[in-house]
Order: sequence, then structure tokens, then C-alpha cells
Amino acid sequence: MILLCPVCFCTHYKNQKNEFMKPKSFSETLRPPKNGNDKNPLVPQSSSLLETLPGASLQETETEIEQVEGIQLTKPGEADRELFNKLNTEIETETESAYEQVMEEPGTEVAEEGVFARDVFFASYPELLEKSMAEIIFGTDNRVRITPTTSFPWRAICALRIKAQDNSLWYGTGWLVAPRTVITAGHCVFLHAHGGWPKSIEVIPGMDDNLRPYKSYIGTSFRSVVGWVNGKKREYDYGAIILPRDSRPGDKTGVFGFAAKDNQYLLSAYLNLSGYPGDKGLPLPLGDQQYFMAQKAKSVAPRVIYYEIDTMGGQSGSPVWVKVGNARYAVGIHTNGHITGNSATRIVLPVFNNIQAWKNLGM
Amino acid sequence: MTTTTKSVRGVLYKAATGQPVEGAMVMIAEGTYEHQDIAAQSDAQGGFYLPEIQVPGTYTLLINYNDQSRRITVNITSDSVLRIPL
Repeated sequence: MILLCPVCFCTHYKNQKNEFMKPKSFSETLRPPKNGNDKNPLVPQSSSLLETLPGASLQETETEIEQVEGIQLTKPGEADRELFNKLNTEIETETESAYEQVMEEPGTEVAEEGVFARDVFFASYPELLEKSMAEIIFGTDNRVRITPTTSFPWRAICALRIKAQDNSLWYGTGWLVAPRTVITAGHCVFLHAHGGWPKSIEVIPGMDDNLRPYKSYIGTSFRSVVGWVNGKKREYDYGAIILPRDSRPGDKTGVFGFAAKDNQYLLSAYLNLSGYPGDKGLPLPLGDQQYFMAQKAKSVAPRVIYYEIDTMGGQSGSPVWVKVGNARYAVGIHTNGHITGNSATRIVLPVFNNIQAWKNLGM
Repeated sequence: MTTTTKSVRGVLYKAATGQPVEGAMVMIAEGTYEHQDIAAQSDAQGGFYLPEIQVPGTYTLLINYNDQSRRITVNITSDSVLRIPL
């Protein structure tokens, strides 16, 4: 029997186990402001969209800051300044050349070894810019399990096992942008209430039940930015794991590209998201199966992308990417869930620059 | 209403014996406020945390352990410590 969601009359109100899931579609009017970044989100209905990427020319006005206890001010651009726990696994010479003003960084897909790539194209989506297309996997559930995970891009997506300084254990997701650089959520590499930088994170590319087709690797060198580490601001919730020199899973899995795209592009493109949700995998162990879903964005804000792609705990750090031909460009890093829309930290130019620098560290 | 952000501790135990439940996966399925999409694993004492959530608020937790799955809706305040029988 098909059950309809009473809110949006969609057909995915219950999952295969007949458990209630997060609503997938809902009225925009139901959304309360979540933060200062979301008070006026851009939505697809708008015919003319303002580009608000950093660097845009804005007329300055004279303003004052309310004196509020606990507020921390940062200089322009300061919130994206890199912070790290140690530099013992990478070259410590970070020069300006690492911050090239480019907006797309291609990934690489290493040669398949007799593995059939499951993703196929939509027949046509003329409304999409640059023919950005969604990964398509056949199935009836909105979240579709990826198995096997040994083809690209699935094998470049990693299950994370995070051991915090207070020994608490957490599950997340990351994705490779270089042989030994894994991009993830800031809250996976800096847990404010649990000692900050973790003791270690186990990185398991392409995990598939008890299979670890590309082994696993222990990371102890982490990166994030001031806006997350010091400011705990949702808009700066991104970071990286730099694996040791002898740990180079990206050589075998291939790596994601990444790009900073404008509002119109993001609202028109299909967004792909795949990660390791903690509600999948019963019986134990949980969180060891990769699940995927694709959908267009619900809205975009200057530093956040909102969507109705189903996610669950454990998927923090998952790549949100667009597929252009055979290239995959991550445009966001999944971080948050909420009934009015799940969301990703958007890759804008400062984020792009940091990922580029972190990629260089892991070459 | 004034809210604050904090990590909230919880403890899972077996309803029949009172013994702690180790190795369960705990995550937020729904909530009053936006939440991080990270999952926690309970430790040997059955302890876990809900990371950096806004309180007070109402949250639906999804708890998976062994071959069981439970959904529990809880009202959480700033001084809450959750004790959840399974």
C-alpha cells in the first residue's frame, strides 16, 4: 500500500520498514529562519537572481555592532582562515600559489578494473545549465543503496569512524579530493564539546558492509577554519583530514573535483548526495552501507545550500555534487538535517581556496 | 524563547536488567531545530551525546542496536540527562 504524506502528498512518507521518515517535501512557508544566513533564501521561483559570491562589489554603509556579551568579531575573510592541529604529515610550505583564483578543480577517475560503472544519464534535461545531471540508480526507495561500491564515484566516498578526545565515538562521511586528502564537515574534525580536534579518525573508502575494498586508514592531522573552530558558525562547517604519507587511497579510488557555482546554476542542477547513514545496515554493524539520493536544490543562501534529499545521522561530511558529462564537481558538504530542509556548507570561493590548499597537502 | 546550544548526554540501558547498552547507534531523526547529521555510538556505560543541539527543544531520536530500531521523542532542556530504557 502506498501511503501519502499528509503535508505534501508525496509517496515516500514511510520507508521500506514502514517507519516514518523525514518529510521530503513541504511548503516553503513552513520554514522558520534558522540563522542569519537563511532569512531571505533564494528559491527557484525567482526569475532574476542576485549573485552574492564573495568578491562582489557592494556599497558600504556605516554600521555599528551591538555590544553583546560573548560576541566575537572577525575581520573580513578571517572566518575562512585555516586552522589545524598539526602539520607533521604534510609539507609545511603553504604559499600564495596554493590559492589560485579558479572556480573549478577537476577530479580524476582512475581506470576501472573490470568494474561496470552503474551510473547512467538522464535522457535529457534541457533546463539544466551545462547539462548538469544526476546520478541515476534504479530502485524504488528514495535513498538507494550503493553496492558494490567499487566503481567511481562511490569508492571515493569514505565512512568515517571518529574517536574524540573524550573517547566518545562518532560516525560521519568524507570524500577524497587528493590521494590522501579527505574533505568532510567541520564538526567531524573539530567537536567543540568533546575536546576539539579528535584523537583519530578511521577513513574507510567505499565501505560496503564488512568489505573494505580499499582498506582503511587512520588520520590524525586535521584542518578546519576560524569560522568553525572559534566561531562555531554553521556557514563555516567544513574541514579536512590529511592522511599520513604512506596512506594514499585516492590513488586507487580516484578523486572528486570541486567547484564554486553561482545561485542560478545551483538552483537548476541536480544535486547528488551519497554517504553512510547510521539508520542503515541492520543487523549490526550499522552505518557501513552507502546510500545515495539526488534532487534539485530547495533554495540557496550565500553560504548554504538547502535541499530535500533524505539524510540521516552519519552522513555529515557527504559530498553534494553535480555531474557534468563524466566529471563530478562537489558544490557542497552535507552537514545538517532539519524538517524544513537538509543542508550543506556551500563551496564558495574562500571554501574552494581552502579545499584547493588542502588538496595540495595531500598530493 | 531563549535557546542555547549544547551537547546533551544520554544513557541507554536494558529495561529488563538495568545493564548499560553498549554499541548502539544514536542519531536525531527530527527536531525542533536544525541539527548536525552525525551519529553517536554508545560506550561501555551506555553513554552517548547529542552534539551541539539547541535547547529547549523536542527531538525524535533513532536508536539502533542489535537487530532492533527504536524511535523516541523527547523534550530536552538545558540540564537534561537522558535515561532511555531499551
